[in-house]
Amino acid sequence: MMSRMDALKVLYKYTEDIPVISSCGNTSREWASLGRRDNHLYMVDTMGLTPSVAIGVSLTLEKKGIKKCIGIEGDGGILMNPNSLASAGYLNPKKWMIIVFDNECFASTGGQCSLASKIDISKVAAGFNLEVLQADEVDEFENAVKKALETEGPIVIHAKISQENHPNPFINDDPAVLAYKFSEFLKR
Amino acid sequence: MVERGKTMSSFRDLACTEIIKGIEEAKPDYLLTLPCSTIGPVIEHFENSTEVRSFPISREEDGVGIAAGISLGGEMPIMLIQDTGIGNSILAITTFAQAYHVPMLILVTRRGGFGEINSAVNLFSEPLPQILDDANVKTFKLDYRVPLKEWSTAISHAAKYAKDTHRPIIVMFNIKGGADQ
Repeated sequence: MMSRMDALKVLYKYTEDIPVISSCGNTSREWASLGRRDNHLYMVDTMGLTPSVAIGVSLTLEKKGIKKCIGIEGDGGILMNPNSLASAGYLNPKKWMIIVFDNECFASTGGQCSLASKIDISKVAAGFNLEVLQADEVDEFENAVKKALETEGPIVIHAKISQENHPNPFINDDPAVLAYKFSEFLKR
Repeated sequence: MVERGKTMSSFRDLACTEIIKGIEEAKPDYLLTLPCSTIGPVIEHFENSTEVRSFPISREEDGVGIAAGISLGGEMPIMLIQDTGIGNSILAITTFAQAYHVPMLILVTRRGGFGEINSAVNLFSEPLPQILDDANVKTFKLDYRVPLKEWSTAISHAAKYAKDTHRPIIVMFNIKGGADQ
């Protein structure tokens, strides 16, 4: 089974000019460890909000040449804010792409069991009329990323990952600076 | 003086007209709404607008996230909700919109107080101004003490103030009339 880091390394290759918003905790820390870029927005708190923020950004991209806005969320986060799936199903933001890393636990707080161990997030997203690609291995994930980036319409990649974490320093930057860099990238 | 055959407009009707005017003067790109019975005419007005893209949200926290994304993308969002919705979204307002310096205007209709028939909502609506003050979320309040003709100016200025000060700004209005809570 792939780790989050295996998948993030793949994503990093394909997103040099694509805005990516990463959820708080290990996801943002591992993502930043691959190399910081101005097209990244690292969430330092507000668990579950990433898919919603990505909806808003993706709406503003409709008149721009950028292909997608990608949000990276965990299973715990997506089940904390399934409202974002409802909004995406309703608004149909063509440039919205979400990757749900599903390890069936709250890895950032010590691996406590999450609701995803008994709930199929693919079916939840499909129930909100969203297209879903499933990927459990690295090559499947790479194909899903390539396909999703070329898909015109909101899309969810549901990736099952291991519970492995790669220790990395906390992101303790001034959030205003993180947002400023990201906004400036979007103005290009 | 009311013309014969015409009924006098209620405080609510006049307030809604001023709120519509204020939103139009603010020239937002998007209006995100979660209905309140008192504010229906405003939502219906913008559903038919060609200037402002208006859409419903399912929960205010999700709305703050979407509005923040719009704002980060360089466009201006206004969100119109009931004051109870602040309870659903205060973490997103503080730890995302406020922390990341993301401008947005949040228009909030007051619940509770005179004229309220709900037997529970007062327990949140009454302490809410204090909650927002304690959380350092800048809030302007419009009620019967502010002349209605000033409301549209307050709303459009608040939108500019949000942009100029790089943060969420709340404008709360009591359109039921009557005394402050």
